[in-house]
Amino acid sequence: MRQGVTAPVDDPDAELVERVGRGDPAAVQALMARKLSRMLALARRMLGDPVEAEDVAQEVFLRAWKQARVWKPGAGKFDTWMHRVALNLCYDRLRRRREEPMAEPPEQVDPARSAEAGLIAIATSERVRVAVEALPERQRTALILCHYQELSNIEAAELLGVSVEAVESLLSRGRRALRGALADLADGQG
Amino acid sequence: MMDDERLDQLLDAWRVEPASATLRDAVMARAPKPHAAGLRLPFAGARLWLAGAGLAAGLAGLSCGAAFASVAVRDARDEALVAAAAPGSASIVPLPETVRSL
Repeated sequence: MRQGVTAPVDDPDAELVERVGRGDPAAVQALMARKLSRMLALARRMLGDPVEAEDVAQEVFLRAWKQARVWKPGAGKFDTWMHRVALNLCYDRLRRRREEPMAEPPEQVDPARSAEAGLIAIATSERVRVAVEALPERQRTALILCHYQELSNIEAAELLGVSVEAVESLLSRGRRALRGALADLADGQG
Repeated sequence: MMDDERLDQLLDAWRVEPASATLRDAVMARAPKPHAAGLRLPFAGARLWLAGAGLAAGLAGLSCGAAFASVAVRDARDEALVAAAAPGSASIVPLPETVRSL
């Protein structure tokens, strides 16, 4: 049995990150195009606040630009590293929120009003958002990483610092809770 | 009970806005620049050459200035000598008679 030896990770971003580290303007643009909306979506779904999500996405990239200069390909995926940074920044903000409750919660669209206006898709989106945000933090994070960010269970386990089985359990419980919360939408409308 | 496919469909309904132009600009403003990463080494070499040329030109200017100054001093000295040697010049004092008789 081999111990302490890990196979080099095949990172689809490796070449791009190496060019970013050299300051190649085209690579900088390409990495931003590939990752910015992805990081923003992660922060947006974790925090539920668009302004805070933008701050997090910006901070992730600030660190990514620095990291690209010293990035050693093969040790891990740059995308996973970016997710870890983004998650940690989100956790910091969520912790701060618990310690210092916000004066005003983030602006939320009233699903009923949206439905009245005929915007069923927006109403459904809001229902799902509220249901996901109501999940316990670990379940919500696992769901966001695996469903929305399309990471593998292995990558999510690495980011959450738990086993793959634990991630599967978190996902299973999260999805069960969502089925209950969104049961009235099961018939396929919206 | 809702099946997996329908739940995934519902989850996909929660969309978030893509990154705004303002955010993109803010991110780009802090991106690595080529000169910081050494891509402009030829330009750095050119800067060195320019600095060297500037220094050489400065030294040449100083040298020329010194040469012109020495020529001007020499000319002024010559003019003074010529003026002193001219007849009737105040610098040539006629010897007194008593001295001449000696």
